[in-house]
Amino acid sequence: MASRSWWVMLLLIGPLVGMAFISAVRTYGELSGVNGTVAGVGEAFSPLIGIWAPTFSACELAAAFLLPFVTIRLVSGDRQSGALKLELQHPMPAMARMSAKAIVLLAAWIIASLPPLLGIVLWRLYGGTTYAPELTAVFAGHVLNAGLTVALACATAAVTDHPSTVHARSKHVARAEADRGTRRISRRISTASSRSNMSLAASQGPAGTALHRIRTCSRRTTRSFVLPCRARGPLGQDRQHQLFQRLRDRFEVTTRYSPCAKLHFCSSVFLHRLPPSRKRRRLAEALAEAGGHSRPTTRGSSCWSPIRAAQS
Amino acid sequence: MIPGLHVHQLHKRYGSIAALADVSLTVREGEVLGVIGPNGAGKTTLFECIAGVLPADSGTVMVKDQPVPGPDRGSHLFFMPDGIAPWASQTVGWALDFTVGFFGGDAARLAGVIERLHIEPLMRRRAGTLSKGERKRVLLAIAMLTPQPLMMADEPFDGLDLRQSREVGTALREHAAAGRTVFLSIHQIADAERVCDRFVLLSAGRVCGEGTLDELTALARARLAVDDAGRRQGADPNGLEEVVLALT
Repeated sequence: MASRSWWVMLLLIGPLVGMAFISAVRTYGELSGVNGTVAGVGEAFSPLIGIWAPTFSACELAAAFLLPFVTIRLVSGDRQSGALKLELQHPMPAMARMSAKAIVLLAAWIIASLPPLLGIVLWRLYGGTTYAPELTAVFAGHVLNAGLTVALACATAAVTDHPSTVHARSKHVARAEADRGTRRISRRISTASSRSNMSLAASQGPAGTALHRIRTCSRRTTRSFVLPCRARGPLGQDRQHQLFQRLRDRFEVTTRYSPCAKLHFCSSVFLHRLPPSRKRRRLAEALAEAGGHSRPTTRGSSCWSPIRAAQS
Repeated sequence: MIPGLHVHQLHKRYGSIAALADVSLTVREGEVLGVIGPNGAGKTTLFECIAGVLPADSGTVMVKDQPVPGPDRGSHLFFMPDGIAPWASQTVGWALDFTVGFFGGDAARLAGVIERLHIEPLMRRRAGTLSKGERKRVLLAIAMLTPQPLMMADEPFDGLDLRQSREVGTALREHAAAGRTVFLSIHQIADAERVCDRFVLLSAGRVCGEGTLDELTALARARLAVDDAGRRQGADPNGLEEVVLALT
């Protein structure tokens, strides 16, 4: 509670999330509404993509740019003030000590995540629908992302002596570096925390790549092992039919289009089979149904769009 | 062997500089032992190595004849370093309560320690806003509240005025009389002479003498150069200050 950097994060994350949420709701309404109204909101798009992804992306920003400062201040601050020398004398396992700090940081992050949770409440008050599993997955993903940031920031803070500006320290680093190019860079870095953040930024790329590779590899491995086990020999025509029947029974795919998307779909998929006169008539009817006034062209129907129709 | 803490052949190097070389000493139970030495003698390094905060290159620390590895020394001793300002954004009252809760100290002693070290007016102030002397008294209060049988304090009189030095000295003596062993690193000779039962003289990382004032005086006399006629060169050391000058 006494961490000033945490309070700064709390102060900044509110406007960040608020701005992201408001712009997401506005965009969602504009894109899925009919003729500038809000009719159809919640039907045309998934709130996961339209609302929660952009709203929680503000948390992503906070995790990348604010949370490392809180972590570095906590870890390096204890070293700098000497509190770590006292804490180290407690006969407590190192793992328990590190876990305690990590839990405190994650708790601070969860408290800082209250604005997006407030966004969920607001969304329900607007009349929007929510799906608890997908929201839980998004929230848990962001907590995991924060955990990764905390771990990397702790690691980088552990190798720096001082969390605040120490020009002498950067000179020392500059002297210690043998390479001239590195020395030039080190002279420019006047704060130890900047070095921590640079290390953090530098390590996030390889970490992300490694995680992606691990995930891809694990997915491929799972598929390689599971699919042959499930297949049990080549599928005959009867078995194919049974499989598709089972799939059809289990899954129901509902696709809804906004009026514009419906027009575009009609024009690009079905109209190319019609003769030009019927094609023109069908398009005019569809446009009139959607509130358009212009006459669409039948040339190049696959690239027809309401905007072009309006221009013509 | 006398019960207490034994340090055996402790070595510590910083690059080419030998901070501690073959340091051996004994801290007896219930005494106030002071390490005295000039600046750069290795007092702080010695304390940090004994406390396990700084890893020593070699040597052992034994408690009741059993070697104790660095991470386990926290259950036998508490070391209060010099020049630290822990939990700067918290109040002094919070820091003392945290110490009692975190280290498992005796909460019943809290009021007595606060009164003895005159900390009552500081209880609501943030630790980061204290002056050097005030901070030193708060750090000593934290050390006195910890439950370990041995308390080590690095430069406990640094930053204190004359009156405060005397009061802190008395408080440390009372603390030791209550059954706790106190191990201090001091470079103010007058304070050391007033507070400590025994002394360890440290110079350039080596122990130059260990014992009571009388024992060290005898050692200093024995080391005085003797001329061809069998007469000692120089005056007999009188008091701890001259003993220290003679032996270090």
